[in-house]
Amino acid sequence: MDSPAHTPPLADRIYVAVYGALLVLTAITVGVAYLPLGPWATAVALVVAGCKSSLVLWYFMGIRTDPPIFRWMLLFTLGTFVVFLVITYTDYLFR
Amino acid sequence: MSEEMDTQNNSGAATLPHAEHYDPEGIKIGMWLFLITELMTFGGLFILYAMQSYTYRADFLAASGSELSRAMGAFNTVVLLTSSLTMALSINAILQGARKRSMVLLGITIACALIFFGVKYFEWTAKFHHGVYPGSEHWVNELNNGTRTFFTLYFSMTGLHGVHLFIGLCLLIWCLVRIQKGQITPERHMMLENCGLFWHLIDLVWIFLFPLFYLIA
Repeated sequence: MDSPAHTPPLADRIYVAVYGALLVLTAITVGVAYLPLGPWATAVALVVAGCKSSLVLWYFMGIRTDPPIFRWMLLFTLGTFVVFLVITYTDYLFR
Repeated sequence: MSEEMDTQNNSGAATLPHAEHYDPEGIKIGMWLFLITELMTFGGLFILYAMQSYTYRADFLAASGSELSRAMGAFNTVVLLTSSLTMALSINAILQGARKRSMVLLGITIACALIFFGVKYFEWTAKFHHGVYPGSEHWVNELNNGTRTFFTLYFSMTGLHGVHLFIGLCLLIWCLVRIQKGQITPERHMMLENCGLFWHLIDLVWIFLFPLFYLIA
């Protein structure tokens, strides 16, 4: 203890709980891969990956407790990415 | 005259100390701006993957099933998730002034990174043994366009991810040294927090790489 203590924005047990949820989601995504879902398998895998990445961003990367500007920066980035994705897909599908 | 002024200035500076400006939020915004460029870099590669997997759907499914081990991919996913947890806990420890605990947790994070590299080493060498690398005889004569595209993307995307992991590993070791020296403290902890953000980004990218390459078969 070389300096006075600060209170962390999120308690240890919250990080551990999020870690547990991430492990469960990993088990789900591996389990689902063995089911005969055909073309839906990739969709399910991406939805689970989306949930996992949201947990990482929201808790581990601290977006939950950061000032709103961080949320807006992230939303703007994801919005830009979606625009790129949509433009590329439309070009690809209707070429 | 000028000498006199110098002395006055010096004594003025000595008698009026001002706190050094330390702006954690500004430091963090700078890091996020960088992370955004990272997200877009990997994002571009994911769009490329999406387009190619649309063209070569069947080849992608077959290649994923034949060459990539789900067990190894899942194991590495758990390793990275664990490292993300210990990273977050290490920052909490430094905030609470528990320097030793912070260093132990950071050490576990570094160990996880090394385990990840070990598994990746076995995976890549197994593929090289099977002749699955650009330019091999097997690659040129026997693999079709779809399979080649799949493995080109596999090597570039997991390779770029690996480069990030290596840089992250070096940063974490540097953090460990600076905590040891007492240069990262509850007041000045942003270096550890920003390296943590970078580390979580690596985890984030892997969360998408894992299902797209290992689980689609």
